[in-house]
Amino acid sequence: MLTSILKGHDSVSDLTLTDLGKTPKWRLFGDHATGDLAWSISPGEWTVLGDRPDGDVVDLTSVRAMFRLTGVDAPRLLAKICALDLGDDVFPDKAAARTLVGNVATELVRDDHDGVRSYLILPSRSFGRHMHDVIRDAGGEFGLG
Amino acid sequence: MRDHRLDPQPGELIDRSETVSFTWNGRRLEGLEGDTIASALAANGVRVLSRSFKLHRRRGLLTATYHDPNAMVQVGDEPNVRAAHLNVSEGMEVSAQNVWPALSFDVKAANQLVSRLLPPGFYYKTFMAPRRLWPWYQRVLGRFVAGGVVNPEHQGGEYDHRFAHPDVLVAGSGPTGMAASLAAAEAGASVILVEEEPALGGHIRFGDDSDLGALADLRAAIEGQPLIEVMTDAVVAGRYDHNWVSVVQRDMAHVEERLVLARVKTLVVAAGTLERPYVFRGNDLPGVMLSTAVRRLINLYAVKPGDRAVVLTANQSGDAAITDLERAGVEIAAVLDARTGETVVEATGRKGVKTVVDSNGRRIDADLLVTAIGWTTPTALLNMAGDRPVYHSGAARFLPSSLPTNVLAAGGMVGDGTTDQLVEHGTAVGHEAAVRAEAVKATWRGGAPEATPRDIKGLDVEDHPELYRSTTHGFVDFSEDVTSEDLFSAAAEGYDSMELAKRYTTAGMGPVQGKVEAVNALAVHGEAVGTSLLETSTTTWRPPYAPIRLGTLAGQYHDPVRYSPIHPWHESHNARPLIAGQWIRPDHYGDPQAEVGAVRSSVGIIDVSPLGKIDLRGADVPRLLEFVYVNKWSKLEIGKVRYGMMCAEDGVIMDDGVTGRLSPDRYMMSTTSGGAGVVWNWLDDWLQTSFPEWDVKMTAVSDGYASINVAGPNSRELVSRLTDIDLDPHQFGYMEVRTGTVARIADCFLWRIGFTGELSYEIHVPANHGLEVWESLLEEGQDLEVRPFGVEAQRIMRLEKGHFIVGQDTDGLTQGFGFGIDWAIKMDKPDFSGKPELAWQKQRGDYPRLVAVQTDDPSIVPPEASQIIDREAGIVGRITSSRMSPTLDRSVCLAQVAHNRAAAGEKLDIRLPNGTTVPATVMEHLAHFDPEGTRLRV
Amino acid sequence: MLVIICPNCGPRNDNEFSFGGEVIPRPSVDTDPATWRRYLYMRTNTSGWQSERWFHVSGCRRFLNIERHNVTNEIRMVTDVGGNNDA
Repeated sequence: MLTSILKGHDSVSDLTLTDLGKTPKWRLFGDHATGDLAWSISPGEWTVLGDRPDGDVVDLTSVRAMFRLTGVDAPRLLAKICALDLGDDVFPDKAAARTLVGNVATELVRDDHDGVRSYLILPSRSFGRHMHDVIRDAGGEFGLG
Repeated sequence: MRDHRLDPQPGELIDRSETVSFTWNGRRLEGLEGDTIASALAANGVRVLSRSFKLHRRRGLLTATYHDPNAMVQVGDEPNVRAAHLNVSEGMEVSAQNVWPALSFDVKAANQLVSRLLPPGFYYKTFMAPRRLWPWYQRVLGRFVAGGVVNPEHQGGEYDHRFAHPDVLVAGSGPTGMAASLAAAEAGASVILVEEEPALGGHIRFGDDSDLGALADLRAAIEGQPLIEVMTDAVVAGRYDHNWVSVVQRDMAHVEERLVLARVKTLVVAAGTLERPYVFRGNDLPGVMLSTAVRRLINLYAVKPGDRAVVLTANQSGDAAITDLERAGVEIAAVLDARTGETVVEATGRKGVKTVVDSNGRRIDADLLVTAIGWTTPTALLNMAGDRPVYHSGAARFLPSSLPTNVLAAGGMVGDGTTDQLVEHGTAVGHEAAVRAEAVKATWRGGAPEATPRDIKGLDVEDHPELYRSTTHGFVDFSEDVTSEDLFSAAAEGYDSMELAKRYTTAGMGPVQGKVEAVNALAVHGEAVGTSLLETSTTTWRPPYAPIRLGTLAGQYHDPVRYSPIHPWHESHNARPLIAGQWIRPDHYGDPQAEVGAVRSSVGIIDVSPLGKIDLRGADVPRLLEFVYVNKWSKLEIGKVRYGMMCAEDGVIMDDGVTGRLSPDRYMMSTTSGGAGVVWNWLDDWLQTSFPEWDVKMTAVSDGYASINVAGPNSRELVSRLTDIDLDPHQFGYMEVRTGTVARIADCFLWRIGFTGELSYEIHVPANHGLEVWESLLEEGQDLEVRPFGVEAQRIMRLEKGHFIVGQDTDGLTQGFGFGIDWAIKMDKPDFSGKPELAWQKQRGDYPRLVAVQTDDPSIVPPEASQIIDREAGIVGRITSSRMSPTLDRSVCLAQVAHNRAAAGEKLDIRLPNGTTVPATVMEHLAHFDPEGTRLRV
Repeated sequence: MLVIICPNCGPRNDNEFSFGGEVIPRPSVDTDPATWRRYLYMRTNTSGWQSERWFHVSGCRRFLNIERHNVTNEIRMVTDVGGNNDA
């Protein structure tokens, strides 16, 4: 029995929230993409992290903010601010979506590190402070300081 | 005071080692850990919990549940706390509501003496007229309003939300709900099990030894099942389209309440039944209780509910109550078995029951009258799923009729049974719920469901007599003080429909919302109008099932707010914030008039980052521009920008801005700040639905660039100090764009435009470097006395210059012609958005014109939206923008004016809000200042 | 809150979408005012199955054709206007 997973959760959490806003990000138009990490939300459009990919490219580095949320409680925290089903069968490692997070349309990518749940959260840059506040507030009960 | 606590009971929830001290109306009392407020009071012999809403009658425990209409109390500064639900805690201050000056002596109880004069509709009829007395009526009636005291200083608490995605959600944790949860989980489904009370078990918690054994087994099985998430002290508040289910969790570690928003594949409703009160004279006296209430008190809280009891029983619950009462040492003065035709006629007493009169005319002394006459099915979630429950006379309650495949009803919702039978039914339903959930998920994955829904055999119904009202009149709605007599008189007055009678008498409209009284009201009203309404009606329950705090609905709500990358500088430099849609922008830095002066005389900089910016690439970009703008775009050369206006298909102006060609196949479109999202979506609409074959690659990059407008005669000097771009006017002219570095930041683009009417360069710099460039401009421009300016100064300057703002000077009916750019609308283009309407607009010619207006008295600034009136024609226009111009030292306006009043020199009368009229004149040019544009083209 | 099975994104809540209403073809711009205004303002206002346009504005940003029963809210078909319908 899970006694209401978010209820009375007192364990010391190892949740971390990292600002990765300066990471190079690219919009690549085309049918496929390679790179450190790439995902496609819409047919013919890719978001690529890292080095500038070859092809038809727009620089998104300043267009998107980027946070990394890591820790076993990360999906529980996200469940407070995002309606997407983050279960393993629906949203496994390397899954990507654009959806509402904290009431803002946001790209969300699962990118586990050494088997620990980790998510990249990429709202539009101007919503960066808002997103940071939303995550911090939702994370209070998990000890996210 | 005598202690009413019994010896330990097998299923009790209390911890006898932990004493809890609390106050009741200021008096210190002791309860035990695990007691509800109501059980702790009952253990102390407190029988009167409240005064009733209208008649201020003494009231005691009736149902001993969350939904007890008589057990609402004030706890600290929180009113309307459910005393039979909330556990008592150390130091809690509890007091009675609806009392003045005291629970034991209540002045307003005089209402009872005149209750004949307070028939239904009394307030509506009496306080209707004369109208002028309403303020006085309102003050007096305000003192009679029911409920506790709200503390306006209350600080509130923390609330939050959570989304959940269970395969199966089970509402109710009686034996049926627990068995359904286990069966669903065993079939592989993830399950949320929701229980309104603080512990699992439902009615078998106050059952016999074999029930308690079954309860222990079920609880242990659930404990060991990782797929089941249990939410106790939580309530399913509503069920909406596609099984969107809201659950309120009350007892949380980090928040006061949490709203769980669950997308449920299969909803299992196993909410059991609610016991229904009986209607007879004196049925609201303290000491008249439902059988489940006394069973709760005895079995869960070890409280002796009275000394000498009369029990009216029509079913097994009444029979079980007799056994419990005997075990608790309560003397059974009489058992009235409704199955043999016996019933209660009246209960009498002043502070509580003293005598019970039965249908044989016997007068029986008793301080407790227990009734067990039947059940109400809480069909709320089924109603919300579209069901219209039908009345079953054998069961004397409503049962579900038809449900969508993603909702299943189980247990007491559909029939009766022993604990074993309920577990068996729950198991079958739970398994089927898991199968149906899997089918839903299969369709969500894009496949076909593997199984078709299977019907689950229902439960048999235990027939028992239909009992609603005795031969006397009594209370139907305890929370609203509505009697069966009131329903009869409403019927006599012509309220022959239950829907009307309900609203007239307010039966069912109190805090309990029909759970206790709705079916009785239907039965009594049917009796009054002479038809069995039960047979022909249904019950409708709307969300929420139980009250939700406003804080719970709000949660940790964050209104999305957007900030420019330069915002930290604005914050530390005393900028007054302006809320502009989602953006927080600097309105000014203390003195907008001085900011205007700085720009007109030297140079100023403004953060215009919220401007929409859309990167467009591909061979067909010119075709797109030709279509979405009203003007010509086919021959835009590299390095040029052009102003464009967009009209929707109805010809109404939707946005404007400039678009520049940065390189052979790269264009940058700008939009207004507020229009950025709308235009982006609109372009996608055309490209995807009408022109999918066009080669256009669109990326919204608004947030990717910090945008800084450098304006004023010294702007060229300032920008030249920071950029590698040649700013020579012959190399970089008005309405041109260049790319290059600014303050050593690469990949910037600059365009020369002039919203303020001054020479200006709009610098667009990659947003991560926006703050650096802003600070560099201020640093480098110190000797030029460069000054930051805000939105207000910009608005003044553009108004001086006669540049309109879409949405400010235009409105939802403003079509393209008449705004000073008629020359740009190219009707010879084969097609563009809004073209037919614009053609017809031009043909009509009678559209309003945008004109510059100056009041004859230069010191008067007519407020925006002031009307322009004509003695004969009425309203002939309105002021759309107005400001005091520091440059011209006089007021300046833009106005929409009727076509025949728009000629230069036309005299207009502007009506001010204070009713006076001021004369004004239409100007020759839209620009009040520098109409020739010489300042822009230097 | 409806679930819309987006062909690009999978099941999503309806608050990620904006509703575009009945699908109405655009007449030629050379048409008469009556025809054009039927396009702008007139709707059949069906009670039952309806072909609708939705925009997945907070998801893939694709426009979708949806067949929805506007009494029961049942949805029986969702396709991308671009024809890419591999969920």
